[in-house]
Amino acid sequence: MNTFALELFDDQGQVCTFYTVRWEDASLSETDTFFVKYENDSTLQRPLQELASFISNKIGDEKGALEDYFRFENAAQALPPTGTYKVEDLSINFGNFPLRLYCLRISETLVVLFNGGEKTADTAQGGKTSMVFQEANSFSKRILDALINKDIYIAADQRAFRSCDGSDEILI
Amino acid sequence: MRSKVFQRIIENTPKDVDIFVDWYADLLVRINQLLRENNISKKELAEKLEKSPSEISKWLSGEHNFTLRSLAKLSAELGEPLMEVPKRKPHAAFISGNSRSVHSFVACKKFEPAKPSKAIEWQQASELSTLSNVG
Repeated sequence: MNTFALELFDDQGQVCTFYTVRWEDASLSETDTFFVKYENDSTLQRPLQELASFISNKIGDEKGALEDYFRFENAAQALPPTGTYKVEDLSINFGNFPLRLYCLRISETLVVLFNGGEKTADTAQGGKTSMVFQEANSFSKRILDALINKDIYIAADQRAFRSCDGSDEILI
Repeated sequence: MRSKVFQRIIENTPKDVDIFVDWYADLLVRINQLLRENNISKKELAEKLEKSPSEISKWLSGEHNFTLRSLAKLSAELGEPLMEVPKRKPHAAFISGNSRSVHSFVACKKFEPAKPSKAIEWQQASELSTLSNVG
């Protein structure tokens, strides 16, 4: 099974920290790959900027990862100790929004962002985002397994992951 | 720390995009909050607004952009303001002859955290001089 790194994406906000995942042999993280893919797309550039502003300003710096901002997309997985984790679609829950970005919301202060794509179907399981959705589920499952097995844990301030040796370099 | 790609996109994001996202995200939370507080289901809201439940779901789940009319209807049904526009009351004053200046004032109230009341420092009775406490 390929190894991936769970690494920081953005911790500049006052309220919520974002992590992402990067395959060990990849130069870009999954979330960077998503942003680079649409950065210069004339049709999708503005929605991409809206999503970036939403992540960094509204969620990261002001409100945190409130449930109202997410669209739940997959079967929940119940885990100790803090309950239920879900793979969710951070699609900005508004405005005929044409992009999907998948994520695992651990809490209002800690979110793991994955890859995403254009919405070409009503559900995440269909259309162009189907493959990345499956991959997001696989990343989520491995992160959650690592938490259950105590290979990684959530720091006391609820804003970071740590590996079992206390390091912030995490390979899963 | 922030991803360089993400930083670049944020730096290139126009101000109006930030404002739009700010308003829309706040509206979304406000509407959901009022529905929860008033225990109104989306189905009930649809009936009140004489819309189909699917249309209401589209409003609240992102298939439709809000219009000012739809916001006004929602606000009327929920009985609470959803948005507030700052109001400025013009004030005109004659300076001399035919010239006058017009000012606009904005009333605002700054909320300061309440200061803790002064703590009384208790002293041992033996430390007190009887005269020092007079008056």
